[in-house]
Amino acid sequence: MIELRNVSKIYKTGDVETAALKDIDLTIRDGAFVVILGPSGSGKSTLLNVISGLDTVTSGKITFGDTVLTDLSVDQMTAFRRDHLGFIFQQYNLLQNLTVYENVQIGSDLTKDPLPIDELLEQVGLTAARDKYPYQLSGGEQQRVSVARSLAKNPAIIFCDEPTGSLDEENSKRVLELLERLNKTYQKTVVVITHNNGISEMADDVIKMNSGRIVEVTHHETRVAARDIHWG
Amino acid sequence: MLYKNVWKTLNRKWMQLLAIAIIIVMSSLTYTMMFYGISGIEVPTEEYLEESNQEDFAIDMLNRVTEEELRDPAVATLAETGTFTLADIKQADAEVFNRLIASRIAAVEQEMPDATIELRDLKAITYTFDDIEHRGLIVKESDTINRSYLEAGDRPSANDEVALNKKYAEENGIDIGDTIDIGKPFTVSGFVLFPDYTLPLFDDNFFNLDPGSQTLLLMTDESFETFIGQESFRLSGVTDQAIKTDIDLPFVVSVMETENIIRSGAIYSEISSGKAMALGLSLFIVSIAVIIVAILISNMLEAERGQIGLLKAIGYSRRQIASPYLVLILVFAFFMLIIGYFLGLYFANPLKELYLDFYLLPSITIAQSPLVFVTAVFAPLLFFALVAGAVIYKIMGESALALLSPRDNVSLNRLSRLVSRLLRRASGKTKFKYLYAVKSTGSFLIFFLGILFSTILIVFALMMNGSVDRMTVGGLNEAVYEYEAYTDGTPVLEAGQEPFLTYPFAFVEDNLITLKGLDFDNTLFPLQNEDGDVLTLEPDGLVVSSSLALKLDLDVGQDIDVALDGDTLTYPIIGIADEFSGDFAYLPRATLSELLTAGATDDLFNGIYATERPSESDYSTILSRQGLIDQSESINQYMNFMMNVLIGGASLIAFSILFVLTALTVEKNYYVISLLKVMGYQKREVRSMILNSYFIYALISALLSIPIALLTLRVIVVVFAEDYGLVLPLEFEWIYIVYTLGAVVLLFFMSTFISRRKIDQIPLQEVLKTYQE
Repeated sequence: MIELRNVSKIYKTGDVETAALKDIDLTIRDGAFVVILGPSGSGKSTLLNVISGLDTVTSGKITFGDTVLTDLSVDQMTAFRRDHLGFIFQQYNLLQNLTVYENVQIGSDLTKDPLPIDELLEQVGLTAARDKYPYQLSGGEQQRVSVARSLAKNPAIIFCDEPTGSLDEENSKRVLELLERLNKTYQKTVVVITHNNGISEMADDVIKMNSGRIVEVTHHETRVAARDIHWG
Repeated sequence: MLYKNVWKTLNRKWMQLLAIAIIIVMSSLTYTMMFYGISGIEVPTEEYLEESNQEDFAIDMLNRVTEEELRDPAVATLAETGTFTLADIKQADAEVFNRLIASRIAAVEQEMPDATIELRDLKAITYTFDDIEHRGLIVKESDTINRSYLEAGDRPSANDEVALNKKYAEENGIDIGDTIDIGKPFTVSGFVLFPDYTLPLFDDNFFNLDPGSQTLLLMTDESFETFIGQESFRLSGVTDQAIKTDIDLPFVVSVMETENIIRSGAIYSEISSGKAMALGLSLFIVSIAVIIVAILISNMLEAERGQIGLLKAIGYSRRQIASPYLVLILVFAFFMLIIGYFLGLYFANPLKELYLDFYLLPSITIAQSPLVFVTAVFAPLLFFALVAGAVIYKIMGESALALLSPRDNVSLNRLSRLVSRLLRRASGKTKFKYLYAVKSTGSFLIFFLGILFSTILIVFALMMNGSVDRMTVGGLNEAVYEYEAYTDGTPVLEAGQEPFLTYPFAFVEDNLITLKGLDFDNTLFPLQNEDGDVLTLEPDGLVVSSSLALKLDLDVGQDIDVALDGDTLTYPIIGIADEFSGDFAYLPRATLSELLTAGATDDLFNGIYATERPSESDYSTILSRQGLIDQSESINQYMNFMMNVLIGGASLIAFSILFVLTALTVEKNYYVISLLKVMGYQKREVRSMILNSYFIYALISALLSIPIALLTLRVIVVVFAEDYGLVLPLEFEWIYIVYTLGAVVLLFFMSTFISRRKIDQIPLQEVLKTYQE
């Protein structure tokens, strides 16, 4: 479980201070599928950055189980990300020199107990493309490689920053189906940042943000399957 | 405004530009310095050699009478009394000597009817100057060939006057009008040069080029004839026709064209190879600079694709956008080339002086030449303009829409595919690491060739280390004696003196060698092989010097034929002495004595090794071991200096290349580095993944450079041996591999220090921005 208590983040540019996060209190349950919604500048990316340790907080406390993330050093936080967190970004961020298999391998090399790469490629439907290079794949296929890569080290939580931002509806739904499966089959906690309202239909919890504050938290008793969401 | 924008972009890259500046400056500096340095001596040298009628060829001749010459009753009579060397005959009967020389000249002129031949008469002396042993070579003024050249003052007109080398005078604080004691006092009348000694290499058996401890001397003919010294003769010739080098006359040892005689002709190859090297070296360095600048521009423009696309979209023309990049880069290159030119001009004078430290040549003040300026500055600038222009034109040629859209993924180059195949079974991390450096074929080639070139120079310099020392005083350092002395008589041996017998007229495969007879119980000049084992002489075997073994490709166990007074004797080689100072074959003195006297005596000697200075009345020539070592000191210092310059220059180039390329790699892979950090790779791992492949490739490049350097040196050794008969004892030791790799490791960590820090500083959030590889 991830807990945020009174988390604030202030950026300073010269004498100007900008509060990106203001007194955030939030709990993300283990195994939940969480969607963070909000317009540009609402603070959703900053929230993801501080939860995942990509950025530091100005004040407040973030805990993961018994670990106080806000007390960790840079190296300790790196080790934490290595052991527990996976990331999927809007840009696929694949390494162009490596094949599909090798790109996933880069993720699995981080742990002693990775998930089998062949099994992951089968899950994302890319077994046949395992020896292809990124430039030989479509955008949807590349994003599926990045999903497999993030899962390879078997993380407890997967953070997704606009994972469908560069994809068409069909490819987006395929990627969302994968995230859904990860959440259900592997019991992974999935945190998705998006401005697409439709994606929130498949979440357990929906957190709406505006001006650096959480303005609404909605819990869904039943989730809509990724394939059936209303694409907006 | 566009200029301001590009200016700011370039400002942010000041460290990379600084490294590139070093390479650009070095390219024009190298060319200007070497060209002006060489031309500073070339122009006056050409005039000097023309004016003094330098020999076209020289004939080394047997310094003793031949069987045929013994048919002359007067010569035979002298020989019967033991007077059979030319020097002794001249002393005993000048008329017989003149007749002998005239007949030798006539015999040569028959072979080369168009040639003019003249006797060259020289006397080698040693004397003490400021408590240090100096050498002099008194040259008798000739009529037409190799005339003396006066740099200052007058030629000696009185019998107590002498002219000597200006460089020697400068080194020893001697002025015209001073008195110098060279055995007896002489007044210095002027400074003189001789065209057959453009290098002060007075003795074939002692490689010493120090102009501070040895000088050529000119005195009146009368003084020359009465001055006591070791006299030697050769024939000098000039001709407009082809030179016949295979003259088959019994007294001819060799006929060599001036270009192939190191003492007189080395300057020709020095000038031509110096010019070629100036051009080649600077071309190589400027090529590296041009390609690195092209890579820098390409990276810079790729990073600004969107911005350039936007400018095109709002109506700026390709020329308007391209101009600031091209102009600012060219202005930068121009200033660096100008700096390099003036630095080169500044350093040309010390380089010229460095040449004049070893060559006996007149010099002039270096004058600037517009052609050199154009070649050093505008030729590379044109090169920069063309390559940078092509890179800029290519990127600017894309449409605004293409530039504004995210860049399509780029396919892999062949090198990446090859490395990928080689690393088929490696982990993803390892593959990533080794594929990164080869991602751009151009960058990788520059990196690889640059490191290869630099490490070849480093290995080359290391192998040169100590070679001149081995060549000059290698054997002397091991010897126990203090003095080596030669006699024409039979003085009584004293305690601390050990006799030897030399015979410098033997031949092996048409090469004149010196047979040297030593006593079995000789302790003052022990012969040792290269491993330091003492070699024992045997009556039916020869120990040969390393230089002879190298020159004739001889090995232990091999039989060699030695031609001696018309007889040919076959000996097995029983050892190779670690001795590079001449072509010697050693055998027991008793054996050599019996050979030379047809069994009459086994106790002949003509020289001694001694622990104390022997009497000058008994020994005409006395050489001090320490004196010889001191004389070679300056050339060893020079060689060490050159070695350090070579290593320093090579390291600077390697450093700049490594710095620029790794800095560019880090810059280009900003997002990848951020991604790896986000994924959970520690800083240390990321540094290793991004930079360490360069390290491995640098080591591979360094290792490859060793056989290339060995091959290059082998060629140099062969060329020197074949062209000049000079054996360069260049040595390769396994430790050099360690030194070279050590230098590469040090350079790598120094040059990538900033890149490492930059990797550490790249923020994690970068990965969330627009990603591009």
